[in-house]
Amino acid sequence: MSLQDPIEKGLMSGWRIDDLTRDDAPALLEADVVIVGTGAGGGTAAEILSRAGLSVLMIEEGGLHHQKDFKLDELWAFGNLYQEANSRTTADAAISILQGKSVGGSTTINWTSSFRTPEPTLNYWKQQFGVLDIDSANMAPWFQDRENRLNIAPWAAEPNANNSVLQNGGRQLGWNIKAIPRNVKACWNLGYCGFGCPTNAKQSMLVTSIPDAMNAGGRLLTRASVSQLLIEQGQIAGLDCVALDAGNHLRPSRQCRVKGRHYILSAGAIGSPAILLRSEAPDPYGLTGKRTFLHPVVANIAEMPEKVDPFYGAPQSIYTDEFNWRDGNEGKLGFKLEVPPLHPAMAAGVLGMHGEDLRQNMERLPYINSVLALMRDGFHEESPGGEVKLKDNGRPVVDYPLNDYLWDGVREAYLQMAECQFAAGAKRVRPLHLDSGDYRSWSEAREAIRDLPLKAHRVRLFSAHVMGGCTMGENSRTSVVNSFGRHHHLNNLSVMDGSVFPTSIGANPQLSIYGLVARNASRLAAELTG
Amino acid sequence: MKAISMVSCPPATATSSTSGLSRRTFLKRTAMASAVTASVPWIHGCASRPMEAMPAQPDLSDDQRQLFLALAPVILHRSPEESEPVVDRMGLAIDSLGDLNRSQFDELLALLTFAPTRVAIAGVWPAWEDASQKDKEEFLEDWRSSSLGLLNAGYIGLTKLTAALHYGHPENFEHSGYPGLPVAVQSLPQFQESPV
Repeated sequence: MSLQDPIEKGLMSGWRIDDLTRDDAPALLEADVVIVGTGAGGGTAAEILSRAGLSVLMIEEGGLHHQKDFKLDELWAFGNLYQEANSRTTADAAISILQGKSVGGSTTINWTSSFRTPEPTLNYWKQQFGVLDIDSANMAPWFQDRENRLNIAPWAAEPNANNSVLQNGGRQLGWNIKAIPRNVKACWNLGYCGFGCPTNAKQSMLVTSIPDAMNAGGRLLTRASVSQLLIEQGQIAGLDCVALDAGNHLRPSRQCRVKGRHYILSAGAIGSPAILLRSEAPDPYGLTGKRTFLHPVVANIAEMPEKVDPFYGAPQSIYTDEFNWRDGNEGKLGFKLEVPPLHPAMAAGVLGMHGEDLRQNMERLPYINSVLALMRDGFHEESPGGEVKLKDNGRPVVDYPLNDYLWDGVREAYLQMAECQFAAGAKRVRPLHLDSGDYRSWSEAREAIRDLPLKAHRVRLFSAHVMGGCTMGENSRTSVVNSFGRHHHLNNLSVMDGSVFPTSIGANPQLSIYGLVARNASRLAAELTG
Repeated sequence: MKAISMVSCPPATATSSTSGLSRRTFLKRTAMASAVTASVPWIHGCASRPMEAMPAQPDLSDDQRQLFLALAPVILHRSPEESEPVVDRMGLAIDSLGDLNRSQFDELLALLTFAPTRVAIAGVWPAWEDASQKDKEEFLEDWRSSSLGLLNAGYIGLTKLTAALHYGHPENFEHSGYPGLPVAVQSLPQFQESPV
């Protein structure tokens, strides 16, 4: 049942888990397959490879937190479950990046939205990047497999009041409104997915694939940040980890060397390219870290006449793709519309206000709805994405240039979201933009939004989906790994996470990662055991 | 493993005198403000080497504490007494941001607490503990409305952390009308005295 915590059970049954910050942590570990990262990619790969009889070691930068720790405390979650205590940004700080950092990676803290990779995206990868076996027919069984494993189905219950704003407003405007598929089982509809699911209803890697791998004899090393791969003659000969403590401090006195037959990078689209760059992995065409996509997000808030309680209920249950593919694959920037939850700290942090303005808006929180637009970047020559680079201290940052192609999409999104919110009955609407006021009517909003200056730091920009940086494809002049995630120049290295995507997805990416990694890990398992 | 050594960021220094200028006059001279801030590597600009470690520093310095004691009530629009708990939590919060953001924050706080740079980029002449309500309000509004992205980013950094630390704390849930945890969760094992 949902109240039986698989991690607690596993710990009692003697799972082999080491915390690199502890005195008793090993200095050397070995396994058939070494997987760096325990999110959507690493968890799925671990499940499949361990089921094939291979010994698997998972390495996670964050700690092991599970049901006993998930007490719905927002600030605790930021500090323990998010990269850089939820303060990660792009290099110029113009885009805030939400990314997970604990066992389960971002699947531990995501809002459960689970979409198959849209067909236009798969077709684009096939046509533009020569990715093999990637069309819908090839991928459907893999998506189905993961949907079965993770109990993914469209949310059948009523949306919460926050999501109802998008549903009602969108229907008023004649938009095609749909229910979001979610990876939950016996969900209590509480609204705290972003803090670590308190009931284990969310079928994150933490309670599904990782326990599978551990029960099959897998091993887990936590609080271990991979400093570099040891490369000898076109092979990975090992890798080195340094302890990263709960307060996000590296502890250079605690290190571990890890050896395996095969290595998989699943450290996410910032972490995986960063490890390759730090290791000076062969990269003759300078592609590693390039084509990094963020699904840049802009949002509006609206004050509704009735309480919305945006902190309660399944956080994301309604979406529309009305504007996502409207102008074709390669035309104007498309965007998906969804709704974010608003808990007090998150709300206070995203508003970009202070003083009376902040206080008054926060006092109205129970009445505040927010709609967000997730921009589908990477499908146009004016949307080349950003780049993961290393700072001199070895830490990665994403440099993400902003241009008029993006701003045109931002303005269109502000307008569509405002019209939707007014159609749903909003008393006032305010784009999250430092120059925006409160608009009391759709006509006032339309005029004002047309004049909003769109530039970095004025527009509040966010990202919860980092993708790309290790592009897949068959041509080593344009890609870092092949269609199945194998590195073009290092024969015992694979990349299995969202960093292999040649563009963004155009939808929340977790199921895209699950499906592709299930396919690629199955193929790798056959090769390693054959 | 490459060498691991301690990082030290270059000290921030101001390069121009602002005597004789009012804050607003000065800040409107954005070219000059650029000249000051461009020399300050506070956005991901601290020079150092591969995978280096910074030591933990969970306490604010006295100067930093004075800065936040001065600004938190203005950011939150609350009394000094109501705002002080946020300042008490600020040192640990900044320390746990990870080395990149922490070094940025340290740079920003160094600029705001060192008198010549405080005057130059914040336009606040008195020490923070002596600054008037108007000084502090104008500082925040100037950084918020500035055409310099760097100052906007500094504004967001200061206000976001302060606001999140205040509103995220259970003592202040009523300030946002958030009723707190749903009653149903009290039956979950993690809320029992001895989890089963």
